[in-house]
Amino acid sequence: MTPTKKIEEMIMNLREPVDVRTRDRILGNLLNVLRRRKTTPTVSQRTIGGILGGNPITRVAAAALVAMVLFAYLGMSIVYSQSVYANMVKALQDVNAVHISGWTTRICPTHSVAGDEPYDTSQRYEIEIWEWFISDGGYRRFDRQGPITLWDDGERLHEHHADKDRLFISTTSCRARPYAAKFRSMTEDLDSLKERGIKTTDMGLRTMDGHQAKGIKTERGDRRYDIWIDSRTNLLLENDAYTLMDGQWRQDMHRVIRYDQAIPTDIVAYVPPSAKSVHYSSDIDPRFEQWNQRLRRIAAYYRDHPLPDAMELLPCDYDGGPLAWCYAPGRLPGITEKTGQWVMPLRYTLGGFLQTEFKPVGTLRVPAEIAAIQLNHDLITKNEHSGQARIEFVLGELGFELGETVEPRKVWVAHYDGRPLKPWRQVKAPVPNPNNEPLRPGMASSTACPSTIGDLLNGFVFYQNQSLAADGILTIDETGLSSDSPTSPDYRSAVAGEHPYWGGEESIEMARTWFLEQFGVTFTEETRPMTIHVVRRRQ
Amino acid sequence: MMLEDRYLVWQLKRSSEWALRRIYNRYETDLFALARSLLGRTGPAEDVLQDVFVKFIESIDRFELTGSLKGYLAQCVVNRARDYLRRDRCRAGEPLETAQGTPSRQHSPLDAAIVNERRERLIAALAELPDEQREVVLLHLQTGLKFREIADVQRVSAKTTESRYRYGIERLRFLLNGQVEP
Repeated sequence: MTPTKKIEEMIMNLREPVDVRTRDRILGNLLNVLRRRKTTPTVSQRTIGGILGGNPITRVAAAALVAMVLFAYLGMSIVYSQSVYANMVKALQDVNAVHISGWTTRICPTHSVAGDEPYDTSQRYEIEIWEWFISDGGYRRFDRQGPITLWDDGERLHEHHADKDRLFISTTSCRARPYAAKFRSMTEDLDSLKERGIKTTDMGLRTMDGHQAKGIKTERGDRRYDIWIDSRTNLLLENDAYTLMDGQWRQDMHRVIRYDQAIPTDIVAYVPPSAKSVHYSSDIDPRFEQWNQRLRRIAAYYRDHPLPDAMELLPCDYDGGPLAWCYAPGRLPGITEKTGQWVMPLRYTLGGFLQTEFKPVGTLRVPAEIAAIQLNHDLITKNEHSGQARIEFVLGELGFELGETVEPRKVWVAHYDGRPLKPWRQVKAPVPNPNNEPLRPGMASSTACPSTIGDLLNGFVFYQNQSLAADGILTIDETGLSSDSPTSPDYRSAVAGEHPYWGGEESIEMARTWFLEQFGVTFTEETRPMTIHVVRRRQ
Repeated sequence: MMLEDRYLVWQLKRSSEWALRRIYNRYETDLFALARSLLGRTGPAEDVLQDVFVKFIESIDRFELTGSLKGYLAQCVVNRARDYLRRDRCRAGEPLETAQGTPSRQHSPLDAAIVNERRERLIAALAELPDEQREVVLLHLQTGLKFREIADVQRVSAKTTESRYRYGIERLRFLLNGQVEP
C-alpha cells in the first residue's frame, strides 16, 4: 500500500494559489459588500439570553417556550412546502415540454475563463427557455439568459457567450439521467420548496391566463420566492425571486412558466453559432482523437511484443502534422496501470525536442541541419528516466551523440541591490496581454506562477538561446536571493507572479530595465569559460 | 493567533477594510485549497470562497468568535461546498477547467504530465471517500486544523474526528495502492 506519510504529503501539495486577478476581484467584491454594509445602520441584535434575563428558571422555561413555538412554526411550514413540492414534481411527470420566459438580473454561466468579470446585476436580462422531450424519449433544452445561450441537443451541451464570442462544448450530462423534477430549468423554482426550514406564507388566489392560481411566499435566509401554482394541475405558473439587500427585498427574477406549448421551429432547429474561440471538454475534443487512437494501437503492439527494458523509439504510423496538444504524454491502456510506461509524442524537430528537454539552458549547440530533422516518433519511456537520459537515448537511436567543449561565453552576472522586494503577486510582466495575443517581448508567457529570481533568469536565457547555437546571453546568479522551489502557503522564495517572454534582440534592454525596476537586480557583462554541449554524429 | 483574530473580528464589526483584508489574506490560501479539493474544480472553489466571505461580512454583527476563526471559516467552506455539490448535481454541463492552475515551472512535458496525473488520481480517490472522512482529511491536512479544532466546529468528539481521519487515510491508501511511488 502507499505509505500514509506519502499520501498526507500529496494532499498537502494539492494546494495552489488563487489566480492573482481572481483574488483581486474577490477581495474587491468583498470590500464593496463591506462598504455597502457601512451605509446601512446595523441593528443591534440581542441574544435570547439577553432578552430572557439572568434567572436560570425563567431562562429555561422561556427557552422551552420559544423552542416549542419555533418547532411548531417551522414544522408546519416544512410539511406545507414539501407537500407542494411533491405535488408539483408529480404533476411534471405528465408534462412533455416547458416554456419559461421573463427576466433575471443574475447571469451565471457554467463556464468562464480567467479574468472574466461577473455580469452587471443592476441590469435585467431576458429569459427564454424551452425544454422538451422528443418522441424517442430524447431530451432537448434551449436556454437563453441575456448573452448566454445553452443548447443541449441530447448528446452535446453547447454554451455560447455572445458577448465574448465564445463557445463551450461538453458531453451532455442529461443522457440517461433524468432527475426528479424532470426539467432542469425548474431546479431553482423547486428547490425553493423542498429545503428544510423554509418559512411559507399563503398569498391567496388569483386568476392567471384563465387558470385559478394559489400563491405561496417562501423565505429562507436572504432569499424569497413568490410562486403561483395552478390550483387544478399543481403546476407552477409564475415565480418571482427576491434577495434581501440592505434590509430591503429586491426582485432579481421573474419567470412565467407554461406547459406543452408548440415549440417554435427555429428553436427545434437551433444550431449553435460558430465562435471565435471554441473550448471542448477533453473527452470529446476532436484534437485528441487521433492521438487516443494511436495510443490504443501502440498498446495493441505491446501485447505481441516485449516492453523495452529502458526506452523505445517507435516511428509514428500516421502524419498528424504539428500536433501541439500531443505535447502531453499519454498512457497505454491496459499496460500503463501495471508497468508505468508513458508514451511521449515527438512530433517536432529534433532541435525542438532537445531545446525542451536539455539543461542547463543556453549551453547546447546543435548544427542547423541536425536541429532541422523532423521527428514523427513516439518515445516509450518510464517516469524513472531523466530528461538527460531521454535525450541521449533519442540521439543514439538517430545516430548522434553529445560531446563537450569549453569556450569563452558572454555572461551577465546578476547582482541585487538589497531593496525590499514587492509581494510576488504584484510583480507582473512589463507588457500586458489582456486579449491573449501572440507573444511579444515583455508579455507574460505564464500567469499565476510563483517564480524565483533563478526561474526568471533561466527564462531569459531560454528565450535568448532559441537558435541552439550556444552563442546567446547566459546569466550567472550572484543575487543571493533564494531560488528554492516556492512552496505554499507563503511561496517565500517567489519574487514574481508572471514569467515574461524575452525572445529576440529587442527584449534585451527591456529585460534589463524590468529586472532593475522590479527587483533591484543589475547585470555586469563578463566573458567566462563555459562548458558547451555539442550534438554530433556518432563517431 | 486567537487574540489577533478576536481583534480583527472586533475591527470588522466596525467595518474596518483593513481587518477584512487582513483576514482574507491570512486565510485565503488555506480556504481556497480546501474548497478546490472538495469541489475538484477551480471556478466553483473561487465562488465558494467568495460566498463564504460575503456571508461572513453580512453576518458579522451577530458573529461571536468562540473558537478558531480559521476553523469557523473552514467549516463554512465545507458547508458551502456541500451545498454547491448538491446543487451541481442538478445543473447542466460538465465543467471545462479553463483556469490554468499553477503552470509548470519549466518542467519537461513528461514531468508535468506525471504530476498532473498523480494529482488527478488523488482528487478522484478523495472524491470516493465518504463526505465526513474527506472533510476531516482535508481540514486537517490542507488547513492545518487540529483534530480538537475540527471536532469543535463539526460538533463531534475529537475521538470521532480522529477515527474519521484514520479511516479516510486507510481508504486512500487502498484506493491509491500502487499508483503512487512510495
